This record gives sequence, C-alpha cells and structure tokens, in this order.
Amino acid sequence: MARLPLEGIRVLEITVVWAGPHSCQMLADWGADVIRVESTQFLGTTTRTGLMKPGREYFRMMIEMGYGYAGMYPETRAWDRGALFNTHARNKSSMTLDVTRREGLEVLMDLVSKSDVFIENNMPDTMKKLGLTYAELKEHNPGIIMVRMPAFGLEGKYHRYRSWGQHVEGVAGHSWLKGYRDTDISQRPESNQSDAGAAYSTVMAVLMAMRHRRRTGEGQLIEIPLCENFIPYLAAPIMDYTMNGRVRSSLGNGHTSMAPHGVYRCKGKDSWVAISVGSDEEWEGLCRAMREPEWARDRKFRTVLGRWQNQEEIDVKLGEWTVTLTNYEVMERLQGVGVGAAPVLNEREAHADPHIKARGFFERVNDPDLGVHDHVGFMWKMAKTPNAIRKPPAHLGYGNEYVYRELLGYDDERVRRLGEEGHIGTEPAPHIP
Amino acid sequence: MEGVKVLDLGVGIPPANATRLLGSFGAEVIKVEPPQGDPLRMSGPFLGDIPNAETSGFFQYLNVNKRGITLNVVSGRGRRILKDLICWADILVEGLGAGKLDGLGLTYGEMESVNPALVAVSITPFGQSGPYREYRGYEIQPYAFGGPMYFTGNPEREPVNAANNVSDLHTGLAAATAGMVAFHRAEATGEGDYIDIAAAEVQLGNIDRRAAKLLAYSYTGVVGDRNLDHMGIGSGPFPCADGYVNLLGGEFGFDRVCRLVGREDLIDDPRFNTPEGRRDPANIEEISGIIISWLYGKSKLEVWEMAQQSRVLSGVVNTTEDLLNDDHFWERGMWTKVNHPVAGEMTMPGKSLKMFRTPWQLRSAAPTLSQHNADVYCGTLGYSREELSKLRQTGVV
Repeated sequence: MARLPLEGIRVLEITVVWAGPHSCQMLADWGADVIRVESTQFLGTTTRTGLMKPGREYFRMMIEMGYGYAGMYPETRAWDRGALFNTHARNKSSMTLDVTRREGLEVLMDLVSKSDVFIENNMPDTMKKLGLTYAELKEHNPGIIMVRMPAFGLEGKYHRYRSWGQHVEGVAGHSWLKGYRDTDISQRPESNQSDAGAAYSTVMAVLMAMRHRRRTGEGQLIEIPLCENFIPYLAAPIMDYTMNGRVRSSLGNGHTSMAPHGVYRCKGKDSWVAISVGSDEEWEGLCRAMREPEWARDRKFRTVLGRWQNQEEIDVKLGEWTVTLTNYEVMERLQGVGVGAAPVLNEREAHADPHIKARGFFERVNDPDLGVHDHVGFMWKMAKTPNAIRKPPAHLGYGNEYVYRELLGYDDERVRRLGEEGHIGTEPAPHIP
Repeated sequence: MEGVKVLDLGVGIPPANATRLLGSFGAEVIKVEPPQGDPLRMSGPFLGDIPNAETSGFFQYLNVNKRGITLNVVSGRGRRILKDLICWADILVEGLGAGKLDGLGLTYGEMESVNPALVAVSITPFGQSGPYREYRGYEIQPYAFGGPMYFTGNPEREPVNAANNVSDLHTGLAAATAGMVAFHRAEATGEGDYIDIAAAEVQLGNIDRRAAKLLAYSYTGVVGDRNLDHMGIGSGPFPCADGYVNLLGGEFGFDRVCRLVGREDLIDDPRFNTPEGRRDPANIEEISGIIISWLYGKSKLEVWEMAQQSRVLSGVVNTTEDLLNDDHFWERGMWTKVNHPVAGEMTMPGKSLKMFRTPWQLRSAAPTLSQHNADVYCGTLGYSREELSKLRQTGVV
C-alpha cells in the first residue's frame, strides 16, 4: 500500500467531547501519528463517558439513545467501549500522564519537542492554568503548530463561556433557522454540525500551517472558535439581513426556491423519503412517475414560482402517493425519471444499503478486546492512496509503551517511577466514581 | 497558500466554498463559469430583492478572492482551453456530476498525463462509483441518506433538515480539507491525486451524532429513537423575556441547572437522583416548569451570563439580527465589508478562523461575469488579443 499522505506528521491532542477528537481522527486516518494525551486521574466529561463503572441503567439509557457500548453491558473497561468515544478514536495511540503535576508537564514538553502539531479544545482558562499556552509550547519547540478550538474565542466577552455544539449553534443563529416551521423553538431539535465544521477547518488550517513552516521554518498558533467557524454556514440569511434588513425564520424541510422540497412519509414504520424538484423537467418527471397528467397540465404548477407558491397543495398529494410505497421504491421510481429522491436512512438501513456497501464505506475492524465490528469509514476516497483503518480505537494507556519507551526513550527506572506516581497506567485511578 | 493555483470549475455551492477557503488564505483562484454565468448568481438573497447576476449576496460571499472567466467547456475549443487551465492548476475542484469530466475527455488519467502533480477534487451527492452514482441529489438527499436526519426531530412527525446551505457548505469545507491532504503529499512527492467526495459519505462520517450512532448500531443492533428531549432533564431551549436560552441539564448538568435556579434541594431528591428518574417524562416536565418560572421576566443575555456563572453549558438562541447586533463578534473581527462595483458595499462573514502568522485576507470582491477574461486568457495563459476576440465571436468565452 502507498504511503499515506500525512505520514511523518506527529500530532498531540488534549481534546474533549467531539470537535477536537474528530479533527485528530481525520489526521490519524490519513497517516499522521496521533497521540491522545490522557490521564488516569481524570476521565473527561463525555469524552470517555466520565464514569468508571456506569450502572446497568446508564448503559440501557445509552443504548436507547443510540450510543450503546461494545458488549452492551460491559463489566470491565467501560471507558474503552462506548461508541461516543470509539467513533473518533481509531488509528490513534492513547498515552497517560497527569499534566497537573510537574513531572507530567515535563513529559508532555518532551513530547512537544518531538511533535509537529498540538491540538486542544478545552476551556481557554484551563489551558492557561496548566501552563499550556502557545508561548510555553514554543519554548520547547519553536516550529510547533498549535490549534486551539474554544467555543467563542481566546479573547472577547464570551471567551470564558462554556458551550457545546448545540449551544454554539443557537448563538450563531442556526437553531432559529432550522426545525419545524409551525412550532415554537422549544420543539426544534438539537444539531451539532458546528463540531464537525471546526474539526475539518482544523485539518485544513494545520496543513496550510505545515506548508508555511516548510517554506519559512515558522510554526504558529491557530485559533478556531466553534461559533465563528460555524457562522459562515449561515451566510445567505446573514446577508439577507445585512443587505435587506430581513430576519429569516426556519423553512423546515422547505427550500428558498425549490418546491416540492421536503420529507414525505412512506409505507412501513417511521419510514421517510426526501424529495426535491429543482426544474421544470424534474416536475414533468414527477408527474409521470405519480401518473398525474392533470398536474402536468395545470398552469399554476408550470413554473418554479407557481410550484413554490402552491407547495402546500403539492405536498399533500405527494405525501398520499409516497405513503403507498416504501422509501426505496420512491427513490427508484423518482430517480428513474431524473428526480432527486433519497430515503431517510436509519442506522440499520445505512449498514444494509447496497450503494454504501458497494462503495465499501464501512470498515470491518478487529479489536482484540472488543471483537469484530463494522466501523464508520473515511469521508472521502483518494485514488493514489487507498486507505483502511489501521488500528482499533485507542484504549486508555495502551500507547504508553510506544510513547514512553520508543518515542521518548525513558529508562526502566523512570517508567517505573512514573507508573507508581499515577502517570502511566491503563485504568482510571480508584478515586474516580 | 501563496503561489498555489486553484481552479474552480463549479457548479453549485460545495466547489465554490472549497475554493473560497483556499483563496482566503492566499491561493490564486480562477473561477470558470459557463458563458451565461454560474447559476448561483441567480440564487438569493439579492440586494433590494431584485434579481441581478451581480448582486446575489450568497454568490458574492462564496466568490471573494477569485478571478472569474467564462468558458464553454462543451465546445471542442473550450475543452482544449480547459486543458491549458488544468496544466496551470495545482488543485482543481469540480461538482459537475459523476463522470461528467470523463465525458469531456478529461479523465484523471488524461489530466495526470498533462499535469502529474494535479490534485483533482470531484464532489457529487453519492460518489463516482456504486449503483447510485448518477442519482440526482440536491442538498437534502445526501443529508437524508447519510446524515443525522432520521433521528432529528419529533418522534410523532417527519424528521427535519438543517437550515438551507449548511450541508452544502460543509461538503465544500470537506473538499478543501481533502484537497489540502492530497496537496500536502503532492508538494512532497510531486505526485497528485484524485479525490472522490460523496456528500452522503461526508454525512455518514459526520460527528454530528451520526457516526457515533452508526458504530453504536454495530455494537448493539439497536436503532436510536428520534427524541426532542435528547439532552435529558432540564435541557433544551426555554422561553424567557425576550427569546430563548438553551441550557444543558441531563446526566452531565442537572445539578448545575438546579443550582442556577436556586433549587439545590432537587439534586438529591429521590425522584431525580437516578438515571431512570431523570428520564421520566413527568419528572422532566416538572423540572421544565420550575426552570421556566425562574426564567420569567429575565432577558436571554442576562440568563446566559448567570448560567455561565453556574457552569451550566449554555447558549442564547439568536436570530440573525441578534447575532449582527452583538458587540462580541464585531470586536473579534467576524464581519468584513466588501466593495463591489455593482452591488456596492456589503457586510459579510469574514475571518472564521485565525492563523496568527498567515491570517485570512480579503483581497478582492467576487468577479463580475467574465471580468478577468482578458487578464487570464492573455495574461495567464498567453493567448493573443486576436485569439481572445475570436473566442468571443465563436461563443467559446
């Protein structure tokens, strides 16, 4: 197999929740040596679920929410088994140290001097307290590229504010602009698109900074606030306001110019299809597929504007037609006449879909501790550098041998001492609940 | 990205956004439009609501820092010119449709033979291979098929989409990212790559819950439900005096929310101190009632500040107007003013991330239709003025 494109780049991450880990997942996927710096003294709120021994009730709740664990109700090492963590932990190594103590910080700085990139998405003040600012890192490695992903920025009146993706999206204006158009905001569902957005921007910016470093020798600090990174996703409504003073609200499943455009019920339990008609030819195709020659003749539906103005009338009849067919039948019939239609897939359907299978999206991963499972694959394909998941999700501390021995070259005595002092380990300290 | 040459072949939002991002950090971008213009020019919002190919705010936003040319790539002459542009480029981004470049005689093999270091990024709804490769998809189809839609919404109703353009812009960012991964290797080895981006797969791998649930299904065989109370007791947007605030309770924040509303006594209340109790709909309703009464008469920004002092993960629910009126984002330089010869001065999102040594730059407004034809055809590609006027006469440009 060809060398992966990012081989030779070493990345350290001290990351929590989703945005930070997801960015490092992509760097690891494409060949970077990503080391997840963790601690046996602290499990992180949601990162490794934060609970050393979740009870049966907790596992059941997570299963019902769709975030179950390998082994369903695992009796050991729950922190290595949750889907919320394992999704982004493949291809990485996990090492442990307690960065709140001097010896731990020394180890970390040894690692910084051997790395290219440092990525973190903690509260800005947390990093300051730990002495993990760009200025500190630069002392140990002038070429280091540091990415910081605060919610609202390293400076400014909200820089201390704590938020997850869904809160950030409320601030950015997304929560207001999405969801059902006929209900109030409390009926609008969560979304965490801003986490993924910041993750991709991180990878893009890191590689731009690597290029700058190749040409000049200079590293740099990169700040990617979740909120500011996400705001441009709403450029159209923002410019409608700045140019026209208009404050938009949600379109639900509708569209600013297409109609019909929506999600329609199909035969079977909780089964749906997304349909869009973007042109007159597509409208004619839809009328043919539905055997509605009257619609095709009706003048009021002939133009984009006419269909848009009469979309409710179209939606009712279209929904009466889709409910007589399965979601896949609707897709096949409409795609057959050149109309955009796709089933709204649940997880079971996605794993079974013939197209997703033919593309080889899911990757079978054998984890000696967890068994064989189909993992989410790569978000794009590269012709010259085909890819496969190289390592199962990083279990806590399983990379210690690699990091302390191979990379840092510490001797037996130092490794033993760091183990006794609670830096090196593969299990959370007993005091963690 | 100074010195890097990027070719934006369109069409649609994702390629425009990918090349905008590369251009904003210094790459030289040439945007190729069909002679009648990129269809995005006719997508709103328009200045004063009057449709005009030069005043679409969204088009203006997506195409800053680019030079614009027109070219009829379907004509034989047009194809040969396109090949010259492909020789010029380091990175090409296109969303013409699966197999469309091949149809123009521009397979990756062909492009590679004239430019071995070329990174070509193709964006489609479902990818370049597989049974659905030619299926039509606008933004919502790949999101429905690949993304988190199924479990987004009210369990009694239809699943719901994200806001318009969000997924398309995200696919564009993914394309820029993937392009950088290949370009990193191309600069080191001199060998380019061909990247096949399926918007549906960007969504399948999306950390917005979908990827985790797909792996969880492998672990448990259980399909998670669609549920508005996803984040658990004491969570969700709640109404206050002038809008809504979003608080996080649930397993991670219930105790903090109780402290915020001055009800520490509820933390150890036997009704709420087990995961089961915290999931009981009657209990959730009771807590929501307590929170909403406490919020009565308070403004959202005031509540947000108090919530933060209680360490409650939280946010206000802003309208676009609220966002544009918040000093925080002005002080941080989020907005930029762009002057365009037809559209005039516009305020749009500017710096979305900060590279301290190589910052985001605004160098030029979006090109007017065919603005840089002479500049690119004669200056960059070295055609003579006579050749250019002949291309004009024959409708190639």
